Amino acid sequence: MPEMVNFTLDGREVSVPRGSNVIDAAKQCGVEVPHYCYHQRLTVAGNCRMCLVEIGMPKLGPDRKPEVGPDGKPVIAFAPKLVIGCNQAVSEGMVVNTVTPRVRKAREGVMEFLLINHPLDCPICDQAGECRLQEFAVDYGRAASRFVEIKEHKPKRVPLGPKITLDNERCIACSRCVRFMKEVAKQDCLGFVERGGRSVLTAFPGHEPNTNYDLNIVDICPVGALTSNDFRFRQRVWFLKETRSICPHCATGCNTLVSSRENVVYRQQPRDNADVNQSWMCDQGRLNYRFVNDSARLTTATVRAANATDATPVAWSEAVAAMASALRNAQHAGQGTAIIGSARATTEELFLLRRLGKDVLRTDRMETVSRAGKADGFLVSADRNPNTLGAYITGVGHGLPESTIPEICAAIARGEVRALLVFGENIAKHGIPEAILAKLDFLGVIDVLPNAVTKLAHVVIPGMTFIEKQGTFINGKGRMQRLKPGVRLAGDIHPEWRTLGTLLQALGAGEYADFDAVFQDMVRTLPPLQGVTYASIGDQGLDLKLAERPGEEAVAWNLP
Amino acid sequence: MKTMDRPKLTFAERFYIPQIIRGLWQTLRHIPRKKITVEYPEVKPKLHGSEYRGVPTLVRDPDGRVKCVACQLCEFVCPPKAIRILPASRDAVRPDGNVEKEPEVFEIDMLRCIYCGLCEEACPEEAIFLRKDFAVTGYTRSNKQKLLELGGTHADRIWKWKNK
Amino acid sequence: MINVGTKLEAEIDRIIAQYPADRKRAAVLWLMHLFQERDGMLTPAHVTWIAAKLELQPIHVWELVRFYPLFRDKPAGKYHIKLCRTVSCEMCGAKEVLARLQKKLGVGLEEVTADGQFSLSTFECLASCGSAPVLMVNDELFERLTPDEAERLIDRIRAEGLPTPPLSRPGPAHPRENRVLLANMSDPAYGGTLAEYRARGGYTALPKALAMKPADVVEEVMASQLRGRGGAGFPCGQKWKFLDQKSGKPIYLVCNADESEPGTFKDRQLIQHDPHQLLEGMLISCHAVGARTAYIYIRGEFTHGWQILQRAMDEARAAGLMGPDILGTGVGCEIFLHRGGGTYICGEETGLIESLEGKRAYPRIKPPFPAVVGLFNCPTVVNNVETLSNIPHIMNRGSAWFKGLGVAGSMGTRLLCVSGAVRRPGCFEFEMGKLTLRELIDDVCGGVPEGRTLRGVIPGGTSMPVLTADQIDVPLDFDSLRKAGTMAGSGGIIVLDDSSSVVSLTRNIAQFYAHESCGQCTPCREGTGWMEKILHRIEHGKGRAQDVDTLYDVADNIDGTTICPLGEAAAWPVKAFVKKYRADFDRAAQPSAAPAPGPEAPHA
Repeated sequence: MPEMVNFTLDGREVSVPRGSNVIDAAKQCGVEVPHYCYHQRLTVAGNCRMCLVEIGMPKLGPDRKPEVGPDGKPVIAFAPKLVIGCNQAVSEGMVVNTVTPRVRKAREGVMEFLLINHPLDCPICDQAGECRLQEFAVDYGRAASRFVEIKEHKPKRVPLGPKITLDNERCIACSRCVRFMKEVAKQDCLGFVERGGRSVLTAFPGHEPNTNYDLNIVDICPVGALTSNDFRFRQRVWFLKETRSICPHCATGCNTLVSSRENVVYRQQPRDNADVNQSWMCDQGRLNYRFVNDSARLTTATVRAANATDATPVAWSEAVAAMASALRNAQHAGQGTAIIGSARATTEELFLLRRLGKDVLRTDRMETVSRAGKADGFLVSADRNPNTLGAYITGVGHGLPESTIPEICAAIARGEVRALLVFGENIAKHGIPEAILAKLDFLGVIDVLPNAVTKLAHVVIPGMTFIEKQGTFINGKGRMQRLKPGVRLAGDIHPEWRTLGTLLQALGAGEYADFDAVFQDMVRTLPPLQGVTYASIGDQGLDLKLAERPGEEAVAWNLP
Repeated sequence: MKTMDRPKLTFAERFYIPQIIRGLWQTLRHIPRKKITVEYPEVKPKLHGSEYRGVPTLVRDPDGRVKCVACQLCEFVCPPKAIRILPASRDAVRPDGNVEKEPEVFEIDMLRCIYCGLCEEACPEEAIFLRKDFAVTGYTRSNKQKLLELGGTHADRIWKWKNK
Repeated sequence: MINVGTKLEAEIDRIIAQYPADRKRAAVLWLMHLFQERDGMLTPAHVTWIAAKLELQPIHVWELVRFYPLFRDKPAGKYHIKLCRTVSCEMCGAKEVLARLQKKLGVGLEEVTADGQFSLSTFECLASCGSAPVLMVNDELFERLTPDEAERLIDRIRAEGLPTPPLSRPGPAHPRENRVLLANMSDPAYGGTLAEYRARGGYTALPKALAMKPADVVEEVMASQLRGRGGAGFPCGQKWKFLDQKSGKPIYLVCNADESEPGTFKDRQLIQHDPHQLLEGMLISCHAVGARTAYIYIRGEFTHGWQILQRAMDEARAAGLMGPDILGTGVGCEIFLHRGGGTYICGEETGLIESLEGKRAYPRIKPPFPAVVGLFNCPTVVNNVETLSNIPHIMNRGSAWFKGLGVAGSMGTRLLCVSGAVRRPGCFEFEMGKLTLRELIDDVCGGVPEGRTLRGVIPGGTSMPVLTADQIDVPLDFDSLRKAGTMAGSGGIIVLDDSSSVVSLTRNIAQFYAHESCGQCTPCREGTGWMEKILHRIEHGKGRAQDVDTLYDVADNIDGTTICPLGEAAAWPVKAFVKKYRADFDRAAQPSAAPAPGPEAPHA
């Protein structure tokens, strides 16, 4: 429990952790102190002057004790000038006023100054609808303009690297981007040239931002000066639905907001999580979402007879039944079966795959595909699968370096394994070539996009991407985080937990009425997840504290 | 429960003749009177002033630039969601206005449009106006080309983008 | 690619060594000066080379090239003319000189003549207001120019090359003056060398101070009640006491020689004509505050000034008066020169510190104060040239003597600079509070020119609120001026008569602050430009009645909301002029008002 200080905010006595500045303290108490240049994760600049408030401290008498006035309360000595809240730590006994006429006038004044040279770009500016200039102008500004001079003209549509466009007329010189590039992205390449009202943000030619974190400056820019080329002019933000999700591209599991309209994803942004990604995400992960609405997405289940070249579209239920039948036949004939799972699948999906393998098919042959890259020391993990720990905990995956895929491949080649279920991976590229797959009696695939494996499959059932379904990922540090459905594509597409659940039911292995039933069964069955409830995961995830939990197998969790 | 008795008819009422004569008299009374019927379509009705709301249209300025910059405020405010816009980039450094955005697609589903005029009210660019007439016909639905055709030229006084 | 010979590289390495080893960035302004002096301008290749040498990103150098007006990224003529456009010079005819020069050379501002010989630009106050109008051609200053003389100067330069006029100095003392700081230079033969300084009793205070404990020196200065002479008037000894002596970090003394407050030209005299007085003051002060290293931040336009100081420092070092062991006492002190780039905001102490560290001169938010976190994050004290020049005299003659000069609350003498509409402008030294502003203007400076009426007086540099003609019976000391609703400021007194319109003067001042605003914080960045534009419009007959109230309100919104006092400095003159000369403004803002005569105000 952090140490608290007591202070008075607009006449109310409140308590906040020691060391909080006035802006954060007020926010905790439900009071907004408007600001532009201050950002929790960056150093303080104090240049926008929007957070000016009245600060007073108890007056100390000659004995260094607070003087007491006639009303029995401490006499407060107010600072002669308004003080910026971002640089002021709250201390015991402080009095902060945020709604006095002086503060109101200061805010109106600052708003007016910000708007006088600001271009009338709202109709064409991407920031409209999420622009703090717009919002604070309405809340704290003057209604009418009294500026009749010619505005300062500055460069517009300046490329700042290939991903970002800069509009200098809109810039309010808050310097958030300069501080971010220096302090977080570690490429100190932005600065201001010219002086005074002619100040212009710029990068030295040839030294534009080129890190994997540049697009974060578009997020933190309070106005439309920095815009993302990927999102430029694509959609107005007030049409966008924001879904809280998790980035599925590496084991960090950055918390994200996925913006969509009518089932089309338009952009991704990071979501605050102090324990995972602070307020940031990498550009590669951020920009990698177009596969969701790819026109090649599988939308219907198909069935291909053994000697046919073409597959026939069938209803989902029929496909599931066909898959169940094929697997049942393989089992009764005593043939070997195997499952290729994915460490990009949700924990619940992996749990159902485990049940299929262990409880129904009674096979040891289960593996997931590993993806190793280079960690960048910040947010990009060396492990490019978001749910490797989910694969371990469910026992579907064993990971590097002892992947059992070559062994499964050999077993298929030998004819020992005659039926294979491939879940969410193009296994032809990851260890079992088409020639080997062609030997199978039954190849069943659940995936989202067509590939060499779906072409060879006897049954293909379309799956869902991370933004279309419920589920959880366990990130590389043992944090369980949940996905939420935000988009629903047209077609006969069902969440994989329902497909696998129905498959299990058809094979006589129990029934799952809904997602919750799957989750309950999962946490009941797997010791590392005992006691976890879906609600306890919340929007910030749940640290499973795996190091303190017993493991089902004697395998270290291999936390990076 | 309250019972109400049907009132008893008098002899004259039962006979119907007086009623028929009353009816005929009403008709005859109207014959010499001034008729208010307007014989449409040979005679068009007079619309009252500036409040009439006709078909929505897009306008150009005297330089020929499409005034709409695809801000999508009209799409948002439209109550029946009749408007669909696809914004696009426009080469901005042009003599007819330094503006970098324009609508690539601008469609109004006229079966949805309720002629409320909120789009005209919301537009910050004076780019969409409702016509002051009715009975507009054509062979195409209201896509951008048709809307511009119907809208014509707006006598712009502000020239917002010209001097930027 | 730029060619850097061994000699230049050695010079560069020597300069880099002036600063702490992990703070090479501080050398950047010096390097930019060196390359521009050699090559005429700074190109992207220069930027990249300097950045690599100092282990910076190119943007860190580029942002300085485009912040400090002394640096150019476009070629200039062989003779680059910088004409002062600020208040006193404009009042004395700078506009006409500019027009004549443009006609003579056939170029506009920022243009180069076809033969590449001349280029022309305007500059803000060059700190020689008493001899207005002035201009600089390369490193030389030319004073009291009429349009004819300006033309003749061009011819002379074309014929014979650039002349080197003697550096003017204060004239003979007026009977009411009491010259302490100006005593030596009052002798026209005094050359400011070490020998001459010593012959007049110089460097006797230094050994005396070195024999005392530092705390005792501080107490002596405290006892003298010396108040800062830079503009704020804060007690010097008190400022020294604020220094954090317990941090374990080195302590720095910085001399603020960035005299840029319009109307002020006193530090120029002290630097150019009696450099050893300043050096002795600095050495004693370093001993008092425990500083082993001191920097003199001298404005870039003082081209002779820094060379004179460098010679004086070399003399002092050779004589054992400066260095690791001063006069065998075991006390060490090194003073280094740091040239600025032409920016008023470097006169603000934290702006100066940022500039010294090699960055754009963006003032810091306070707290923390420089006494705790200053130059290179170490405890630092910044003192004005005149303040430091007083120290040897206080040590020599004692605080009691100092207290005997002046009046209560404003002890000692003060250098006062008078310029504008007076017959005898100049730099003088009076005991504080011993004469009124009216006496200074009428008795000492001869009053306004024949046939003219006094309209007002700015008493302490353009930042301070103006006094109307009937408000100038105020004694010239800190407290009397504060009671009169203004401040003593930098001691730059500008006299206004009816030959200039008040609106024009206010516009000139507003233009100055808009140009000098660093651009860091919102109210100053946007507000100063707005005030300039409104005043420009009113001045040119396009005002509207409501503009005057708007103007006042804009100034009021800047006052008190900015990071540094430049906000107040920009707001106070506008508020004071509008309040005290409301009728002038209202008249000018009438739709029927005629525009101010003459060419458009030069705007660099």
